[in-house]
Amino acid sequence: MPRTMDDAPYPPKTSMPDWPAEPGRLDPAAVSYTLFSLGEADKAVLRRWARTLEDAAVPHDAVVVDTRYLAAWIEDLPQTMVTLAAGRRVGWRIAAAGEESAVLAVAAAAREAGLLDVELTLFVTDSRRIRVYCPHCKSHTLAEARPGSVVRCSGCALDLEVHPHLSLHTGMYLGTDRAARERRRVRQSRTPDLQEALHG
Amino acid sequence: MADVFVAESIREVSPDVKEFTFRPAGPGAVLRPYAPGSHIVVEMSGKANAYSLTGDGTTADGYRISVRRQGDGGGSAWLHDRLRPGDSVRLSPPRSAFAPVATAKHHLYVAAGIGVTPILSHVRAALRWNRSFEVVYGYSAAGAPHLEDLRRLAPGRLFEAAGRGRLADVLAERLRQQPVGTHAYACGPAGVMTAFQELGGSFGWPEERLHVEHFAAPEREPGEPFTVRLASGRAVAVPSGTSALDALAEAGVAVPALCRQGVCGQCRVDVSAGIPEHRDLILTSREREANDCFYPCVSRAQTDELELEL
Ligand code: FES
Repeated sequence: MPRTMDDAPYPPKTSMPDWPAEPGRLDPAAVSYTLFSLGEADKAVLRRWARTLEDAAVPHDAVVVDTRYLAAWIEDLPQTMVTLAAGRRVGWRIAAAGEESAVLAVAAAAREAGLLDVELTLFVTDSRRIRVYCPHCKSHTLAEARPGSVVRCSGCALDLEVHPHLSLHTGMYLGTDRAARERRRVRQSRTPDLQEALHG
Repeated sequence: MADVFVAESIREVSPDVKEFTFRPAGPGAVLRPYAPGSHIVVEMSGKANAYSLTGDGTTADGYRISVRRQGDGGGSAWLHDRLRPGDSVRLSPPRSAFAPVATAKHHLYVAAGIGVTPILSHVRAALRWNRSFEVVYGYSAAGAPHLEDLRRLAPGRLFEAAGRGRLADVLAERLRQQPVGTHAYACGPAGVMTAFQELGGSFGWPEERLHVEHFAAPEREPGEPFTVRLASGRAVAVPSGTSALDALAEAGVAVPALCRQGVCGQCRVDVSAGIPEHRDLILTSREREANDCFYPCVSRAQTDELELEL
C-alpha cells in the first residue's frame, strides 16, 4: 500500500551519479514524452526510444542540441523547461541522452518543473564535461573535469577543486577554493609547534 | 501513550455520522498540531479505533473527528450511543500517514462517503497554507457527510459525483486534467481506491503520485507460517492465517491488545533477531527499517523465525 510517510527518508540531495550502462526502457503507459539528445549523444539511442514510443502510440517530441550550442542552451534551460512543461498533464515523461553536464541540467530543470525521478529516463554517453558550482561567487563553470581536478572559475577566476559532491537540485558539482585549502593544510601542520610553544 | 480527553461537543453531521470535538482533560494531555490527513486512536472500554482528524492541523478547535455508525457492537456504535458531552476518553497523539507531498505543484483530493474526513483536513490545510488544489467528492443518495462544508470551503474547485458510476467518470475526467507535478490523494471504500489507482495508472500516473488512505483496516493476506522464539528459548509456531498475537495467547503468553488491527500500538513487542513483515499502520518507514519491534496483532515475519523479548 503506497503511503506518504511524513518522515520518509528524503532522497539524498547530493551523491555521485551511478549512470546505467544501457539506455533505460520508456514507459508505454505515459501520456507523452519529450526526448532530448544532448551534444555528443549516440543518435541511435534517440531513434530507438522514438521507435518504442511509436509502437506504443505514445505522442512524443524531440529536442536535439548540437555540442557547439550546448553551453548556451544549458544556461537557458530553466526557462526552456517552464515553456515545455506549460500546459502538460500528469503522465508526461522525459528521456534524455548525451553529455553528463546537460543530462544533469535537464534532470534538475525537470524536477523543478514538478517531475519525479520515476518520470525521468537518463542516459549519459559522455562524461568529460561537468558543471562546477563556485560557492564564493555563485557562478558556475562548464569544464572538462572530474572530482579531484582543478577548474578555473569563470566568474571569479579562483582555482576550484572539484568535489565528489553533486547537487541533484542544480545538476552541478561543488568546487571550493583550492588556495584556501592549501593555507589550511599549512596551518594544521604548524599546529604541533604551536602546541609545543605553549605547553612545552 | 494515550491521554485523557473530554468530549466537548457532539454534533450530528448527517443521519448516521456524528462529529466529536475533544479537549485535553487529564494530566499531560495536550493538543498537538498535526499534518493534514493524520488520525488519532480512540480507546473505548476494551476497544480501539483510528479516526481521521478533520481540522487544518492547527488545534485551536480541539481534536475533531467524524464517525459513521457501523454495526452495533463496535467502537463507532459506542461513540454514537454511549458517549455524552463531558465524558472522557483516552486518545493517542495524532499520527501522520497520509500527509500532502511538500513538493507537489497541485493537489487532487478524492473522497468517497465517510472517506471525506481526512480530505476535509487536507482541504482546510490547503486553504490555510494557500496550496493549489481541487476536490472530487463521491457520495450516495443515502448520505453525503460534510458536503455542505466542502461546497462552502471549495467553491469552483469541488467536483461532485452522486453515485458510484458517476464517481468513476468524474475521477477519470479529473485524473486526465491535472497539470504536471500534481499529487492525488484518495480516501474511501476499497473499491473506490482500487479504481483510483487503476485509472491513474492507465492515464500515465506513476504510483508515487497516487496516495491512498484506508479508513478500514485493509484486507490482509493470511501470510506464511513462521516461528516466534521467546526469551526463555521456547518456540511458538504461528500458522498461516493465525496472528502471532493469537498464537502467543494460545500458548499461554498474553500480550495486551486493543484494536487488533495494527493501529493502536498497544500490542508492541520488541524483536531481538529476525526480520518482521510489518503490516501495521503505526511505524514510520524509518522505524520499520530498524526491525527492532513489531505488532503481533497484524504483523508477521520475513525470516523463518523471530526472536522476541518476551
Ligand atoms: S492491538 Fe492495536 S496495534 Fe496490535
